[in-house]
Amino acid sequence: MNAVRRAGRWAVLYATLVGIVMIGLAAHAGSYLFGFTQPSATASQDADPMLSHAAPGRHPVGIRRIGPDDAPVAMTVWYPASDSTDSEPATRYSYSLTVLGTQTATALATYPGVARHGVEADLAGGPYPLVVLSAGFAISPASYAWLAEHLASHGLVVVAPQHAETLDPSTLWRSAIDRPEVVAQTRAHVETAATPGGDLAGLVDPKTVAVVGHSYGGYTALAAAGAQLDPDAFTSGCATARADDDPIVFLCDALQPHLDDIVVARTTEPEPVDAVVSLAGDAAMFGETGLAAVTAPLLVIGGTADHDSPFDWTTRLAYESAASRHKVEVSLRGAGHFVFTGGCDRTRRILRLVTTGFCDDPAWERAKARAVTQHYVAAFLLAELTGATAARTALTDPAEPSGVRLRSAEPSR
Amino acid sequence: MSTAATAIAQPTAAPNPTQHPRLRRLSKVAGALYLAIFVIYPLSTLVRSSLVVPGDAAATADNIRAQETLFRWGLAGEATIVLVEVALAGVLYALLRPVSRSVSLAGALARVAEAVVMAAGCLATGVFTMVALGDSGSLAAFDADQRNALALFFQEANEHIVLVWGFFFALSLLLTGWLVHRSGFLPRFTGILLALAGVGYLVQSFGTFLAPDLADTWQLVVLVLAVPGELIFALWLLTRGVDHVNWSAAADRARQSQL
Repeated sequence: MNAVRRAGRWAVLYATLVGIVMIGLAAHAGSYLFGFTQPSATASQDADPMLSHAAPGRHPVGIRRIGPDDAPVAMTVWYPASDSTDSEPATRYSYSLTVLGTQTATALATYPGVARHGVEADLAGGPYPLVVLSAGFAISPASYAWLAEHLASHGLVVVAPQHAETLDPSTLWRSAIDRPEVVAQTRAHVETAATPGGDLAGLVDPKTVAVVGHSYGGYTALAAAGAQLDPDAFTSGCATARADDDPIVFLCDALQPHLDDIVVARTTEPEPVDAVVSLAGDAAMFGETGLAAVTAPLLVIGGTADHDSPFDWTTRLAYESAASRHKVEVSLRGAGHFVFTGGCDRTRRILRLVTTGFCDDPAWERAKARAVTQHYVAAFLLAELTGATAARTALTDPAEPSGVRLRSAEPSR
Repeated sequence: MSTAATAIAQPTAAPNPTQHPRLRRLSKVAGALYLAIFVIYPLSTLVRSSLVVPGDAAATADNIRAQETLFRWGLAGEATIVLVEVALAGVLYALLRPVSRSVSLAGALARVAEAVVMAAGCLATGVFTMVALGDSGSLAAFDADQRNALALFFQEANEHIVLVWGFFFALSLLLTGWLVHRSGFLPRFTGILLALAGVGYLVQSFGTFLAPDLADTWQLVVLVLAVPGELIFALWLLTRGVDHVNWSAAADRARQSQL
């Protein structure tokens, strides 16, 4: 009996030891894999003459963070600056997901920017049109700084609110309610700050507004432009998707049980917008009828190999359904979902070893996809918000950069 | 059987616990302490790397503020390692003293020096970070962005301080490896593995100073070289211990040489 008891004790001891060793080995592997790589050498990208608006604009860029104590929602502002000296070091951004909590951004990668903190705004050329930038679900606004800086250099003020989310699909429905409200709060805050004596006085014109968003931020942009939820269309679309085993089923599972809650919660109509840009933006919940409520000029860009927000359910659906008189569709052949997110100059090692899609794309070099996106978004917004002729010409150029397919509907003159 | 094989095989004879209970206890304590470091250190590092965003001061500061408890647990883990290292230095000194008192002392001192640098560096940068991000008012002259930058500065400084204590740790491992290899009461291969681990840390520290562009490579080198050596040594001490007969013989020889 004693022998059995002793054997049992040894078994427990050895099992404990093995457990501890396994934890130690996993911790060592985790510590290495979640560490950051050194900055990668940036290959100089030859400028594509077809992408005239991919070149930075004439303005230096400033950046300001507005904390939750100073506004209804924390936000980051990129603006045209007058200071062209290098007195302040340029900002480095992180491409992050809020995994551990709404206030905790777990960085996947970091990348260099050009904006300088708190530098003087160039009020001489202002006030500039406002662009509200809505990030993807649980993705930090800084993940889109490469685009925000680009737009600010072209004379736009970009304000990106921080959506209070964690990477939990069961809260997607809650975000569907909160996000349009956050955009409204952001616009209201900017409007107040733009009044004489305000922090943004003379810098931003809150009456000339575009909303830009990626992924769930694309849903946000479309909702902010008046798109109406259509539970019946979504339910019917989800039934088809389930039969076809389409990846959009993920969104169906997350939203369908709460569709009524989302519809009931949306009580206020959004303020009008002057332009909308949806980058792989979720649109399935609006259906064709709900999207027909969008009348503002619309630019949609998406990757045809996007398995997170499939092209047919996002970019194509929005383009073909919106009632906008001027709309443009840019399809990136073979591109995935995260080709629109932050730079991957320094990444966590695991992203170099495992294909996750966050920093790798099946078909596109990140720099090239960014150049295409920068070109079309800047040209579209400058054309719609400032009436810039060169920008409009760039949009109507029938020549397509390689890997890009362009469709547009122009208003009859 | 070859000489080397004999040397490895010799100490595998199970020590008799009744004859040297203190020795057996000492080796078990050394193994447990080593294993504690093996587990706690990477976990503490993991906490830091989950919160610190290289180059992005605002994100780093937000993360540490939002996950202050986690950050403090990371600091507590590092403080525990410092204490364990000092205790382990004493235990290993006592265990390996029969081989060479002076080398064993040097190894123990190197390990204590490593612990001191770790305390002065890692723990201090952690505490300074907390002060920079706290509401104490001592940094009221700095604005929020400057305090965030200060916090990131301390965290990035820590990345380099790791390389500084790495020198002392490498020395300690090299000396311990030599002692184990020469001992006769512990398997020679564990000594070689420990020395290789020391080489790994040395390569990482010198390599990162001299060729920072290859820092990823140096980190991989240390992972590949250090983990097997330290883990196997810890497990051997914990489960097999030292060969008491050879340890006693070595202790006798050491006493005689002193006389």
